[in-house]
Amino acid sequence: MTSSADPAVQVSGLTKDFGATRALDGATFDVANGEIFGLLGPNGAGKTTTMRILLTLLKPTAGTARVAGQDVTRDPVAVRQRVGWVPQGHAVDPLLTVMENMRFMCGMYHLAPVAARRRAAQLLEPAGLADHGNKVARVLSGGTRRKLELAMSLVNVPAVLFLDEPTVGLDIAARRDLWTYVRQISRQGTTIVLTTHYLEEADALCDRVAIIDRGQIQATGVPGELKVNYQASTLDEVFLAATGQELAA
Amino acid sequence: MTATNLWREHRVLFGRWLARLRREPLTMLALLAQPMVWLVLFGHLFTKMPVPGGNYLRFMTAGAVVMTTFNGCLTGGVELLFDRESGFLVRMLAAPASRVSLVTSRFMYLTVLTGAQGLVILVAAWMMGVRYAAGIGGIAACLAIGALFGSGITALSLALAFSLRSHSQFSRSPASPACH
Repeated sequence: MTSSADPAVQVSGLTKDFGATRALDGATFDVANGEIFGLLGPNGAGKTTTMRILLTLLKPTAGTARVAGQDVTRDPVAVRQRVGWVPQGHAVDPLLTVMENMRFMCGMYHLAPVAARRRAAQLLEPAGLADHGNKVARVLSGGTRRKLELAMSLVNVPAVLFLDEPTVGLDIAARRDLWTYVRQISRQGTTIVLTTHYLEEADALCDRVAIIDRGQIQATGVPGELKVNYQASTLDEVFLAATGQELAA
Repeated sequence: MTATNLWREHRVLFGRWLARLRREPLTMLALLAQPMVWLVLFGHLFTKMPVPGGNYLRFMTAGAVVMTTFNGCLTGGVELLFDRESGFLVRMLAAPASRVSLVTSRFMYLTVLTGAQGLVILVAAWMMGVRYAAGIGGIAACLAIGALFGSGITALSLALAFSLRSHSQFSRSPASPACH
């Protein structure tokens, strides 16, 4: 039984081993409903592993995780029905048109064909893709393709949306355009968990962040409070202090 | 998982394979042209070859159906390797759709595709003078046996696609036409 007061994501002592390598080491954090939560860390810190466990694509070695009130290990299908995901790699079929990609993803979430057409049209409009419906995805620019991936991740009206490095490889204009779209999605009540190593992105978008390094959560909090606690002026300095790293000379 | 949901998954997955084929007209042309090349080129090259029944074209028609099915199904796993390498496969796995549908939809697609190729061969051979003693029932049996044979080969190809890491490994495996 869950209530709207329960966190959208509850992670407790989450651990994941790949052979002898411990990728995630007892991670514990909560994400409140409607929040934009950033998981920050260097490459190989355990961000993507955490996300893949929450998406039921990996099984944890130890610990528990609940997403939208469902246990990721006990009821993975119920979790998949309630979440959306934009992965780091390609989430669109480059040979299908924008509309075909949308309808394909609707079908994977069991929408009837008529409902799928309606839902696709509803999502393409706010994403600014209404005029691109008949374009083959491979001809889209990086930013437009990313927006399509975001629109595809919303077909099931997810309670929690996971974005894995959503703006990597995009120029600054496309990045800011995508931030606007992410804020728009958040305003509709969707909880968003994003991983990024662009700290200005986390500062601009996230209500709260967790800093993860070598599989362990080093700090969690509101960016402004973390800056005060670590006596830092930017999130970059907080990050370096929390992970024990130093700025390159 | 309800029957309606299974149907919806198969509908979009099968539709995706067909749409991809439509977007690559050269691939579609090659798939249809290959059986014709078998018949026109080899059928006439070996006209004088002594074979049971005395007619080489009639003798090779059944073999052309089998070889076309064999090649089509053996390389059938390649598309799933593309999906794996691009990250699209893992995106599909994050959806609530059944994992089995990913495999069975590919089976359905390859059965329809190689069945259509087999039919093209049989019709082309008929136009070139080959007559089928077993009639329509024999043609249906030929296509059904082809589908059964193709299913076994597809299973091997998909197993390799899921167990191998990359295209280069697939192309070095016994499933690659280059290894034949």
